[in-house]
Amino acid sequence: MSIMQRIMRLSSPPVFLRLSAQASCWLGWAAAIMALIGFGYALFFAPVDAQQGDVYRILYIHVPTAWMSMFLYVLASLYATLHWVYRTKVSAVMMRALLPTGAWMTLLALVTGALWGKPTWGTYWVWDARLTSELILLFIYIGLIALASMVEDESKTDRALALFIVVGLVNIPLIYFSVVYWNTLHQGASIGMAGASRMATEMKLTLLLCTLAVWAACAALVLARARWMLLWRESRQDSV
Amino acid sequence: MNQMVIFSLLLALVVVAIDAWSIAALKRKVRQRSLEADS
Repeated sequence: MSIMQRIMRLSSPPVFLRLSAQASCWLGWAAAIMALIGFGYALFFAPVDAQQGDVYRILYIHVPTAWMSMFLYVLASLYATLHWVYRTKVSAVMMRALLPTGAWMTLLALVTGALWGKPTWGTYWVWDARLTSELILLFIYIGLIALASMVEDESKTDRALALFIVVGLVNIPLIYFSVVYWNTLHQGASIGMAGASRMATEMKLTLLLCTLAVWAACAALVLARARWMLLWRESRQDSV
Repeated sequence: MNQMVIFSLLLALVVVAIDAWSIAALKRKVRQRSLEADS
């Protein structure tokens, strides 16, 4: 079986229902274990920052949730595009299931960022490019969730929702590159694909574990929601 | 330990709990419908 055939097989509702049930369970447990170790280490054992003191530990929550807020949106856009091309039920429920978790991650990133900003910058909020574009992402998520729940028969709004999700994707590069192209109070990336990191290895590994924990938690929640959304659609079809 | 750090962690836990609760509500809705369909 080719890779493409394997991917296409995942869009079959019975296969997706079976795999998502198993995956969400395993990912949930993995998230709990990694969170316990990662956040436990971040709180009690990771070294104190020389300039910021203990308050920098908020970044172990802020950075993974901020990454996840963008990653989940990109993933929703991918499923929205797939839905435009193939119109499968799985792509429709996946793009919908990603939105609430993405919105929660954006809210968490904004609130934890504000809590970190007050003792570090001296203010909870500034209208700089990074913060404002992240706030716009939250508004986009809320708008899309409102659109998704406007009509009782969800399948009728799938295509419109997919279109709006893809249009909203324009905000993601704006968020990511805002600290590069504009003069912002928000600092630039401490970890990048290229070049040496400015973080201590111990802090970087802790952040990596916390990020994996948040990723696994999001994946478990999204897969579980997508599974029940799909079952809801199937039950609607059965009852009609 | 800084109070802001503890508050942030608790907030993250509350957010995950609310998200999980909304999924549980959806699960109950599906089960309710299948029960109604059976009866």
